[in-house]
Amino acid sequence: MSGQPNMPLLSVRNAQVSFSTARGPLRAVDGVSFDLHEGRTLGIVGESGSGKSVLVRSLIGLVGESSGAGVGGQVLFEGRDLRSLSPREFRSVLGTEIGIVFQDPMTSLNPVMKIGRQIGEGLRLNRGLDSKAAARRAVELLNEVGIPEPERRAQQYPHEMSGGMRQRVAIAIAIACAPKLLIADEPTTALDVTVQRQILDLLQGEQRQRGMAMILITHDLGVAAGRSDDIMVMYAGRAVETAATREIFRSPRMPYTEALLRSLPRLSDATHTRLSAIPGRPPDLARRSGGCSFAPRCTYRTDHCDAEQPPLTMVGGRGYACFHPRGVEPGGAA
Amino acid sequence: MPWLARQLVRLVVVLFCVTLLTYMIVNILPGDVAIVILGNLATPEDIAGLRADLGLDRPMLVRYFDWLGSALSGDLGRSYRNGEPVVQAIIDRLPVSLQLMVMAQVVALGIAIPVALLSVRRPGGLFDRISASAAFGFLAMPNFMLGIVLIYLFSVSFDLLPATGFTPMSEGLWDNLESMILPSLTLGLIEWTVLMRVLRSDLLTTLKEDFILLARAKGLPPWRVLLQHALRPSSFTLITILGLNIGGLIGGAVIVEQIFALPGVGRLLLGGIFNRDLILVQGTVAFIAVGFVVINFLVDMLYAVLDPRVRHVRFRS
Ligand SMILES: Nc1ncnc2c1ncn2[C@@H]1O[C@H](COP(=O)(O)OP(=O)(O)OP(=O)(O)O)[C@@H](O)[C@H]1O
Ligand code: SF4
Ligand SMILES: [Mg+2]
Repeated sequence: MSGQPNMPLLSVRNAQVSFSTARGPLRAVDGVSFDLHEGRTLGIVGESGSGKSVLVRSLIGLVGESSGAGVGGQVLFEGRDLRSLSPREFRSVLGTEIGIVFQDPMTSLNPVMKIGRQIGEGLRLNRGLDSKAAARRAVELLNEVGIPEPERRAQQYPHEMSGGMRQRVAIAIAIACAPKLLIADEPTTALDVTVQRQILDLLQGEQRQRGMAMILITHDLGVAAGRSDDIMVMYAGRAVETAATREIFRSPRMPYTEALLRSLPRLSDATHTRLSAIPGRPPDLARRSGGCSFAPRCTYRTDHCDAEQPPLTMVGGRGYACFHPRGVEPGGAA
Repeated sequence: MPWLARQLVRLVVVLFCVTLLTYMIVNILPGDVAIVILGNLATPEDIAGLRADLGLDRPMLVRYFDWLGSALSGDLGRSYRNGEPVVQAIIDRLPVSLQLMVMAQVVALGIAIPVALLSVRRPGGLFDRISASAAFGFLAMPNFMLGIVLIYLFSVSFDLLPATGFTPMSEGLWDNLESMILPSLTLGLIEWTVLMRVLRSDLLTTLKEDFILLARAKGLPPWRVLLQHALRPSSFTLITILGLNIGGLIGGAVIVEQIFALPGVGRLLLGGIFNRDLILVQGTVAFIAVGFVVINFLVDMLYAVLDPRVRHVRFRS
């Protein structure tokens, strides 16, 4: 494939996003770094408000100066620094190489444009298809994402479809130009429990078949469990633990990850899980303390935790941001 | 109730109320058409005789329902003053008024839509602030004053356009348009302001929607995102305002026809009022009321054209 063998498809260094609010600057994303290799899946897990959406949207320029946000850090895609591209070059990378699926298919599709046209639009723009060819391709894509009677459906508007169908359409749009990276931002949160698994299976199937890399955002570790190679846990705008999925499940380092795991039901359908099982609430991002942001909710907290913010420490290919990691220190091992 | 039936009921109710009300108002106006026709020197007997001839001696409600009956069959009576059929008088003047209103809308939308689109590209930016101030200035100006300013600028100072008078289309399209430019500007330059402000604010709301982000993620350039994705879903309040404005537009047209001496329905109406030509006034007002309801009906249809969800609800079998 393209690039050097070991070069990551996407490499993010020290990503920062801050909003200026009435209550002062709000750092929604604070120094997040990660690598994603071709064909791999990264699960980004964290509670609501932990900055998952803002992070990925800032990577692809959907959150930025135009929306009044301050953005920092470096984003390399196939070795190219996305933030130094001209707007035109950037749009072309965005349109051809990266696809995104949003959380709520009720709002992510244009309500006054026919489905077929919404799918074909990117093909016409980025792949130079004429409108006939784009329409034909749109029908094929609808078929591919499992929508029956694709010819008829292509002529419909979003309100004529169920939520699950709409999310399938959104996936068709995302994969239309054969991107190398697919970003799925909580693609099932807004859907009926019964269709959640189907949508996840569809995403995973497309990813495997097309060899795409995928960022799967979820607030449910159970969803990420069987579907991602690596997991990055986010808390209050920071990456607090990153590791291979099986490592995370075998022995979490960070007390927050541990709490997330404990709140997972053992046997049942994991997609039901809510993270509210952890007592307390995430911190106010506009009023950060000097110490560990998880400290108020942490059972292992010490004075050190309040005094200083734990950096993300990399040990043996995995990272954690904690002064008292689980399963490492002799005194703290579980 | 189905949508179409609702519209029809609305038409009937509006017509009944408006015509009855005008009939009453016109009747309590001081002055008498018989005196206007016969002059101040007429004897009381002559006046009474003419009033009887015109049917004015009967009770008001009787005359109203009499009028309503023939109006429903398309006969609005004959002018008390010159015997001309009222329907014919309206038909003769209608094209002028329609042209004025259509051109005024074109001016208003032709300014409002581009200005709104340009100002949301950088909200709070230079263009946005200048256009907001300009809109405020025009909005504060009464249309008779704007009309006079325009006449002064374009006819008196630069002699580019005729100050008053009307050239029918049959005498050349350009001459016709020339005589209508200032009147339509007078109306349109005030109306665009409101349209621009509502469109701008709806565009700003739409631009925060996920489907706009998705359009951007497809790699569409900003102007295509605006035109192809944001404009249509942002135009519903604009259309509502267009409908609500029809009344104001008709009122404005009456004044503007007067300023620019355009032989439209508005001038017909004003002439009728000055002459106490009750039947002419009555017919013209009824006609304008129908026009108002019909235009609103058409505006309402526009929702269905622009929004498939409305189409879905309205025309479900
Ligand atoms: N435009 C904005 N202006 C100010 N603050 C914002 C803006 N967008 C997001 N935020 C804040 O940034 C933080 C992170 O939000 P984000 O949407 O990324 O969370 P999330 O992890 O995706 O949560 P969820 O699971 O609910 O989607 C939140 O505290 C949110 O209030
Ligand atoms: S640094 Fe301290 S407070 Fe923060 S997670 Fe680790 S043990 Fe808990
Ligand atoms: Mg989110």
